[in-house]
Amino acid sequence: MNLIKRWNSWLHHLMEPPLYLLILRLTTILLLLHGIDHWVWTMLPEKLLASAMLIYPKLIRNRWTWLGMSLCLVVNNLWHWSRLVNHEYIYTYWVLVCAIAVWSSTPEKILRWNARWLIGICFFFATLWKFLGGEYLDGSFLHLTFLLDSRLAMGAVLFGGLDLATLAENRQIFETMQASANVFDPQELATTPRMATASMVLSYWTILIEGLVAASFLLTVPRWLYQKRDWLLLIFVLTTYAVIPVLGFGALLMVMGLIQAKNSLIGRIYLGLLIFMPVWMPLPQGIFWVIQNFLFHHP
Amino acid sequence: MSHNYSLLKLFKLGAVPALMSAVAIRQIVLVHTVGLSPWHGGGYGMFASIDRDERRVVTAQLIDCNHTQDFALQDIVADSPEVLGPEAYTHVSTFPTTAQLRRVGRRLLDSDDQIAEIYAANREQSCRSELQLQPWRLTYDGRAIAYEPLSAPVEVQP
Repeated sequence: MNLIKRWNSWLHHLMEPPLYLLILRLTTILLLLHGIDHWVWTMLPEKLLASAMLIYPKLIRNRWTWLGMSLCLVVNNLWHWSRLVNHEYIYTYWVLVCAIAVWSSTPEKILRWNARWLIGICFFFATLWKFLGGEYLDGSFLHLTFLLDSRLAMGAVLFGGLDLATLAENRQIFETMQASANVFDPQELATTPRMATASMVLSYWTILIEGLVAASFLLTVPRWLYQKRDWLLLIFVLTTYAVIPVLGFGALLMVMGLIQAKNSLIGRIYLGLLIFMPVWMPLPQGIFWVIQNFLFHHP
Repeated sequence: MSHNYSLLKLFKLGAVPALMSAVAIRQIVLVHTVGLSPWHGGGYGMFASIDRDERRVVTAQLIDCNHTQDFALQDIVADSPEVLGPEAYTHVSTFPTTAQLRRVGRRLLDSDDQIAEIYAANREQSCRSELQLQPWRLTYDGRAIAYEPLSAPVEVQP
């Protein structure tokens, strides 16, 4: 109990006004860490600048620093536009927002407003794509992803009743087909009816939760939905990233969620989840692999 | 003065969301017109489509008067990255426009020993030959995976 009290008061201390400074600091930390798993040399200027901002905290408030950081990210984004994934674009947009905020007289208001809109637009297009592609509505996208993507092996075993050896064989079939460029011979993959059903259910759950996040962040009516936006985002983050950890996106969602949070309690939840993200996000996968490799391991 | 103030306010509150929406709409258009992978380009199509760039294939065929010969571009990437590097292959798989495919095809005709040699030998024998490149995407019907073409083959001349 005492530990929870101390934890709470520490979060309170971190969130002392002006809150926008905490947001700028957290953004700088994320800028330093994001993308290091797929390093390209054009990232070097932004990493050096982020390091300098953390070493010399005065730079965090500096307008020119954020303008420079925006330039680094925009150039990097334009250079690698076809290679970058969604959340790398959002990093660029968020840094542009930070730059506009530090140049304005109402930085917190600018951050709060834009955070809500960026989250809403991101989820709107994510939901729209699930209708445009058509592979979400019949469950085939998630079904194949469970069968081929090793990051979703936990889901395939738990929801679909498949075993790791079958999943490895499926991956091998696909890799051979792709490596030989054998485009005229379809290849059958091993699956279960349970996997197909689970994929369909999870597909519609994803459309529902992403659609609700989009609507609650973009619309102020119905009022009850708008008031529940933070809880919907938190449900999305917890249910999605526990199954498939995407640290960079999850962390940025928490930072943007924090600045626009409805009240201090929700703000503390966002901040707490962000601080413990490196622990809770990979935990389910970690437990799964330990169980699979040590308890069910047959030599 | 108040007009300028309103414009400034609009910029602060609307510029980045407008930019984000414009980029996302551009991505949707590019996916449906020139075959950009839904996973890239800032349109938030990740985890919505099977058509992931890493699962695509670009085939290369040299067609001459007598026969057709297939070349695996992945092998060229692995064996001769100076002819076709992994980055160039990823880019053409992700964004397989006619111009990009022609650029890669010309590089193969100029630099890949095997393709250039066959092409030159055919020309000496007055046999007209052409290199065709075609991008393919993965599909899944709940039972089997298959490839389907993203566009018609692109013919390449040196």
